[in-house]
Amino acid sequence: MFNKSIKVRKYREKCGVSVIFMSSLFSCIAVALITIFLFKEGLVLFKEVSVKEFLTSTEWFPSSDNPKYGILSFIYATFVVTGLSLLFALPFALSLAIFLAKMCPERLRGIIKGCTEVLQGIPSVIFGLVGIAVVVPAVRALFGGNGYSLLSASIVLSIMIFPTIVNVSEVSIRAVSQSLCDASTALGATKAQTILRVVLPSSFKGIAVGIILALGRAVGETTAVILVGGNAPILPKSLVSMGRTLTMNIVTDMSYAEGTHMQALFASGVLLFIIILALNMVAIYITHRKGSNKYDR
Amino acid sequence: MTDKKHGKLFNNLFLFVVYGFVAITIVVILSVIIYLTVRGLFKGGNPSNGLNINFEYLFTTTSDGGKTGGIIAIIWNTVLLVLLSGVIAGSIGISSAIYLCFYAKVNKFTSFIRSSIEVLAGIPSVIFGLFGLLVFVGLFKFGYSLISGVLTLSIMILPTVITTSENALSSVDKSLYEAGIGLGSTKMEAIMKVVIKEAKHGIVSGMILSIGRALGETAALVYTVGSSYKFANSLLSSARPLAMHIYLGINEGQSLDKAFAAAFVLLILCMMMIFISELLVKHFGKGIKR
Amino acid sequence: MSENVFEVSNLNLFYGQHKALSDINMDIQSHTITALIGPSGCGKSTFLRTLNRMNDLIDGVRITGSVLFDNKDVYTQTDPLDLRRRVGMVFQKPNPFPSSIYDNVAYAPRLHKRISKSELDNIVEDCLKKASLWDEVKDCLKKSAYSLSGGQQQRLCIARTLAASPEVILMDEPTSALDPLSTTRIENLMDDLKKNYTIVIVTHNMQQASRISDKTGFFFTNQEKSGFLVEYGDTEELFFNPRDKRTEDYITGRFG
Repeated sequence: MFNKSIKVRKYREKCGVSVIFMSSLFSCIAVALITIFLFKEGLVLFKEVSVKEFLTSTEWFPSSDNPKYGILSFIYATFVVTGLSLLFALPFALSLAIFLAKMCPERLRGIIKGCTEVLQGIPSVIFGLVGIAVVVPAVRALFGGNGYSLLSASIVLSIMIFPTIVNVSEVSIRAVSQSLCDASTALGATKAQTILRVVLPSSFKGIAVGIILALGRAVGETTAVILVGGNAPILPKSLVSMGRTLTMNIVTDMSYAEGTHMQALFASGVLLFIIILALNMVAIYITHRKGSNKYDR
Repeated sequence: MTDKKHGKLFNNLFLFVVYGFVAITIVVILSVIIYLTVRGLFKGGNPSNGLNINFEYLFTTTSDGGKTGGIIAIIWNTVLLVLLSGVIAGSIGISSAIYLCFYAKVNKFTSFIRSSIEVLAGIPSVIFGLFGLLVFVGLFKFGYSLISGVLTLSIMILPTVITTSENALSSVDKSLYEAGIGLGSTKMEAIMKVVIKEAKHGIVSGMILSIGRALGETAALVYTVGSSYKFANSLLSSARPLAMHIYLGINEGQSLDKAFAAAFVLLILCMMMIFISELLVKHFGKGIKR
Repeated sequence: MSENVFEVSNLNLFYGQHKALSDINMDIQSHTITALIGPSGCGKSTFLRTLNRMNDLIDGVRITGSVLFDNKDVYTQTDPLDLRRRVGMVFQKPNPFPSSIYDNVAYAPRLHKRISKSELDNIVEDCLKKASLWDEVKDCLKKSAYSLSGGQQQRLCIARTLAASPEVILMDEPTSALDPLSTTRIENLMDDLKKNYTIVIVTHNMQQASRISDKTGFFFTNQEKSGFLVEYGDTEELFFNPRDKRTEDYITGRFG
C-alpha cells in the first residue's frame, strides 16, 4: 500500500546531502584558492626584491630601466586615509547610535534608520562622483592645492563607513538592559552620566567590533578613493597632497602590469589580505575574550 | 558651582553635542540624496537647464565611443551580469545555508567552513578583481567577458547570500520541521517541503540585498568584465555594467552631467533593491508565523 | 485481548554525560489511552519522543535498553521513516504547515504513496471528519491553515497525523496551549480515536489524565536528576489507590 519506496526516498536524501555538502565546501575552496593564488603570485616577488625594501621604500618606479618596488607611500596613504576617516566618522556615528538606541522616539527611529540604510546601499562609485563634484572643490577652496587629496578621500570614506559603525554600535547599545540605566538614573545620574559611565562601557565590545568592521571596509575601498584621492604614487607631504592607497595602486597598474610589476601588485594584495585578516582576528579576540573587564558577567 | 549644577551643565552640554552631531548627520545624508537626485535629473544641477535624463538617454544605446547616446545596452549588461551572478551565488549559497543550518555538526570542520565564509566576506573587492583577472580572464582564457565578471561577482556576494539565507532558515519555528519529521519525512523532504516554504521570503530578501551589492560593484569588475558598451550577446562578450560605466566615464573625462545621469539611474536601481528587500521582510516576517 | 504495541525494557537515555531517563519499563497495550504524568522536567516528553525516535534529531543522544514496536526493536530493526508514519505525533503548540488546510492533511499521503486526486480527497475528508473538523472547514479547504483558531489548528494537526494511517498516536501535552472548550472537544475526540488507534499522551493536567486514560504512568526525578517511572498501572487504581507515596503526594497536589 505504501508504495513510495523508502529506499528511493533515502537515496534522494543521500544525493541531496552530497550536493549541499559540496556547496558548503565551495566557500572553503574559494578562500583557499584565492589565498594560494595571491600568495603564490605575490611572494615570488621577494626573490628579486627584499621584503625590507618593499615595505620601507617610497620609491615606486615599476616601469623605469631600473625598476623599484617600494610601497611605503601606499601603506602610509592607506593608514592615513583609513585612520582619518575613522576619526571623522566616529563622533557622528556614535552620537547617532546613542541617539537611536536610548534617546529617540519610536516614530523617528524608523525614518532615521531608513536614511542610514539608504546611505549603506549607495555604491562606492557614486560616493566618488559626489566627492569629485562637492568635496574636492570644497577642499580646494578651503585649503588650497587642487582638491584631490588624502583629505578628500578621508571625508568621502568617512561617510561610507559611517552606517557600518552606526548599525553595529546601535545593536550593542540597545542590548544594554534598561534596568541598568534605570539603576543609574535612580542613583541620581544625569542622562549624560548614565550614557558615559554605564551604557558605553557595557557596549564597548560591540562598538569596538563595529569599528573594526568599518576599518576593514575602509582599508579595502578602492573606487571612491581613487576618484578623489589624486592617485599620485609618491609620499604625500600633507593632508591636502595627492596620495595613493594600496588598493588604488593595484587597480591603477593592474591593466598593464606584467612580470615583476604584476608580482609586486600581488604582493601588495598579500599585504592587504594580511591586514584584513589581522583585523578579523582582533575582532574575534574582542568578542570571545571572557570579561573584558573583571565586572563582566 | 555645586556638583549638581556642574553635573547638569555637563549633561546639557553633552546632549547638545549629541543632538548637534545627529542633526548634522541627517542634514548630510539628506543633502547627498537630494544632490544626487537634482544633479542627476537636471543638467548642471540647475532645473532651469533642462532635463539631464530623458527618454532618449534611457532607451538608446551609447555611440561614438561612449560620448553620446543612451545607456540601454549598459542597463541590459548590468541586469545580465547581476542576475547571472545571483543565480550562481544563490544556488551555492542557499545550499550551503541549508547544510550549515540542518546538517552541520558542531565540530572543527564546521567552524572552518564558517571562518572561510567570514574571511571571504572581508576580502576587498580589488583582490577579487586580481583573482578574477588571473584565473578567469587568464587561466581559463575567458578573456575580458561577461562570464569572467559573473564568476568573480558570484564569489564576492556568496557570503552575503549564505548569511542571510541561514538567518532566514534558522528563524523558522523548529516545531514545523519537527512536525514534518514526525510524519515520516526524510530531513531533506521536511526542509524542502516545509522549512523553505516558510523561509522563502527571508531568503529572497537576502538574495535581493546581495544583488543590490553586486549592482554597485566596480573594482572587482574593471579588469574582468571588459568595457564594451554594446549589448552583450554571449557569455564571452565584453559587457560593461552601469557602475563601471560611471567610473570609466569619469576617467575618460566625460561630462559630469552624463556621469550624474547614470549615477541617478544606478541609485534608483539600488534603492529599489533595498526597498523590495525590506518590504519582503516587514510584510512576511523572516519565516515567523503570522 | 490486547496485545502490546510497545514493550519498553530497561530504557536508559543519555544526553551526552547526563542521564535523562533511568531504567524505564513499560508495556503499552493496543487500543488504550496511556497517560504519562509527573512534574516538569521528569523526562515524560523525552520518553515519548523515544517511541518515535524523534530524539534522533538531537546531537549526542544515546540509549541503552530496548524499545520494541510490534515486536521489532525500534532502533535496530525498524526504519525511522516507516516508524514515524506508523507512530504519529501531535505537539504541544499547534504547528500546521504554512499551506492550505487541504495540503496540511495531504502532506503525509503524498509523501508515502503515489495517490490519485480522488483518493487524496477521500483521505482528507475522512481524516478531517475523524478529527471532528470537517464540518467547520469543508467549504474552505484551500484557505491557509493559519486562518483557523488555536483549537481548530490542533485538530488540523491531529487530522494531519491521522492521514499517515498510523497505528499509534503520541500526544505531547496537546491541549495545554488551548482554551477549555477546545480542550474538551479534543478529549472527546481522543475517546473516539481509541477505537482505532493506540494513544499515549503526556499531560500536566491530572484531571485530564484521570478522565480519559486507561493506564497511567507517573514519572519523577531521582537524586541524580534522572527521570524514572515511579508507578504504572490502571488509571483508576493509580489515582484512587496509589502504591507509592510520591504518587500520592503528586496527585493530591502536595507538589508539582
